[in-house]
Amino acid sequence: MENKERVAAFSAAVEKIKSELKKDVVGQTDIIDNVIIAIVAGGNVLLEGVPGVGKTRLVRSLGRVLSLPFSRIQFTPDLMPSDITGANVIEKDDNGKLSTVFRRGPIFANLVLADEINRATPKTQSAMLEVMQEHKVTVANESYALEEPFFVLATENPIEQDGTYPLPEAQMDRFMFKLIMKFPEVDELSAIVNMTQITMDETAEAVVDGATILEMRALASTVPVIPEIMNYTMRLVANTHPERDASTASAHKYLKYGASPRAAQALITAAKVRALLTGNYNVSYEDIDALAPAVLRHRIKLNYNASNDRLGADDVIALIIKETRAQR
Amino acid sequence: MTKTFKELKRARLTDALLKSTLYGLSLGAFATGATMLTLKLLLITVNPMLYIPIGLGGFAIAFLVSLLVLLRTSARLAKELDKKYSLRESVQTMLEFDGKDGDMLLLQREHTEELLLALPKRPSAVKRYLIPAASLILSVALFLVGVLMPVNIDEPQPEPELPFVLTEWQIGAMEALIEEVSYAKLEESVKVELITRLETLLEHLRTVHYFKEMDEAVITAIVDIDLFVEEINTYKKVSLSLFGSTEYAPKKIAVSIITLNGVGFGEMISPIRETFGDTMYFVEIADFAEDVTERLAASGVAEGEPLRAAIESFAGSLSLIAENSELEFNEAQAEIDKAFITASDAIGSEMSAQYSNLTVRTRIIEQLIDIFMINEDDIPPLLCDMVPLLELDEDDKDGEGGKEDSGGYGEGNNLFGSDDTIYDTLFREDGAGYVKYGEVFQEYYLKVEELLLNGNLSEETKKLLIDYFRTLSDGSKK
Repeated sequence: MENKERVAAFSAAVEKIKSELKKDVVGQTDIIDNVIIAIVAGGNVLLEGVPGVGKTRLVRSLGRVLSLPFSRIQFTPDLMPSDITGANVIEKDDNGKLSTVFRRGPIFANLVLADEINRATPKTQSAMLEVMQEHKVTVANESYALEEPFFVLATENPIEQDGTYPLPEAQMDRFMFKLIMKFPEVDELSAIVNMTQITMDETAEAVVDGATILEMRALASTVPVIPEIMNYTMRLVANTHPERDASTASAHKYLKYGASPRAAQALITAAKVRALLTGNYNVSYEDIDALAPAVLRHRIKLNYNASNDRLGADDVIALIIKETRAQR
Repeated sequence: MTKTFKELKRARLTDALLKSTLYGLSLGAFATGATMLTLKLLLITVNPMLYIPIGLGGFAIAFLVSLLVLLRTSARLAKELDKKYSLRESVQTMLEFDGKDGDMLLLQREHTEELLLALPKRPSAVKRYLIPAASLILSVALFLVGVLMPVNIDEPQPEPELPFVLTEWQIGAMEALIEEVSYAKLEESVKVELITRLETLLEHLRTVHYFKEMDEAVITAIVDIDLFVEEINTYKKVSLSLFGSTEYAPKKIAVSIITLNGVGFGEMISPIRETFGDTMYFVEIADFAEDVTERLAASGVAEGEPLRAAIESFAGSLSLIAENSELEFNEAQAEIDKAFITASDAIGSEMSAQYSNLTVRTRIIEQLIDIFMINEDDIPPLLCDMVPLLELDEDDKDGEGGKEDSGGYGEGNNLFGSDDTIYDTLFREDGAGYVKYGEVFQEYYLKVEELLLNGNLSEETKKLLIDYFRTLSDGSKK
């Protein structure tokens, strides 16, 4: 297939995914776009939103659309790591002989929905670290590779804090994006209610498979990035570090700590996908700026000044983008 | 690099060059016009050629600055296009990866080409060149105003020339002067020359209509008469020639002649006679005669000229006495006395003639100044007034030739004694070197005189030279 056709197939696949998702999810266009970007880029997504905005529905629909093995893990405080990864169990075969067999946990799927991930204990949460980063599970010194493509789409509820365990920074860093699902507008809400009066089931159909996703990822990786944009991205990430003298004023004023190098990797990788998604064949400043909040908001830590000035992570990121642009 | 991008770049280059040229011409015209206008308003007149560098300078500055501002490198143009048309860094990416292989890069290039082709059409030439063309028109208008604006300078009007009419009194005075000259005790040829000059002047003055012309004519006649007398009077050349000698006797004669006083000549040379009356007179007389003859030959005065001839005759008679070894002492003394008397008469007579020339010349000049009320300051320095100051130290008489007060050229404390040395580059036969000033002064003087008479020197240079030699003579302006 020629590259032009590959790009056309890329665009067609994205459009199909979008149109199928829209059958089950009302509104949330930006969230859908960013989830698609993360999946094509091979990144995990943390979805945050109040209950009922369709986080789980979105992920379930996505599992259907992508025609990939899908599993859902409801995180609870008593959830054990082996409940996620699987465990060695003793089994008796037909001859009555006992043997140890690894019983795979729900993580062995292409698309994993980690629902309310912050309800599990840190011990269980940490079981996700290796999986999310290295796409493998190690049990009793035995490693089991996960099938590609592999994505974790986690959700968390920002309101209920009782009995929750905030995700450690290291795990947060494993999520390419943290997406905030806003409460729907009135007309969207109306559409949701009307839709669910007919059926609660997801109606989206499978339109792409895992191989297509991998093909799309390979194509996106070839999108060129000029040194100026690469440099801008690195400066943007570096400027989130308040301990750096060269960082911008907003970083010094409002941040406690900044984003890790994974943020820069994530920005460039995701920007390449976004470029193709928006009909461009190269990464632009616009791509970087558009993705920066999703990539950085869970990787930075605001200090007291930010809350004092009633600024959220997105506000501070917007300030840093503005200041970094001014440095150009 | 895509074809469209190349075309855009070429178009920008053409635009930049044309606009820069227009801006250059604008500033050139503006600078010239503004300068011209300002100077005219300030009533300052300058050489029109000055406007050429101003115009060219203005053009060059505006052209270069505009070109610097308007000219785009590929990278700058790409950035500008991306920003202006929100092309999402497509052009910059295309340029950055220009020439590199890759399917995606190829697609990117094609995509960028499509974007560039879809760019809105450039504004029309009229719109694009409106500002530079307008600035040029305004500047040219200013330039034309500067050129055409009349200069309102109240130039000082030349004073009206005073009309001149030769009066009867002046005619009578001139005729009286001519008559006076005709009765003067001068050689006939000299008299004729002087009278001719005066008659010519009178005739010319009859046709003159303005005082300025009259002034010029009279002063020209004065200078001409002075020049004529300077040429016929040889006493200065003869004196300087003899004064160049290292011996006392020739110098003494030179000092006697330069005074141009025929009456006192005999008295002036009598000490020489006394010198020759002592020991070794034959040798000294012979040396004297030889020295004088050689110096006169080198004086530049024509052979046979009466004054030169008289002195040569004197030297010749002394030489004959010195050669005649049969003469007794008393006989020799008598011969020498006789030669001295003869020389005094002959040389004194010639000096008297030259003195008459000078006297008549001075009389004529003074009369002309009086008759026509000439301002003496308008008369250039006259050659006859330049008389070298020759002073003789009587100590030279014994032949020692002391340096101090040994004669010199100058006045006051500035004595250029004959023993003072100067670095001479002109007259030494063996090349440049130090010589006694007295030995070369004559050559210098003659050379300068020749230049003044025949050389193509400016009036300023002539005045400078004459003033210099006048300072070395008596320092007065006669």
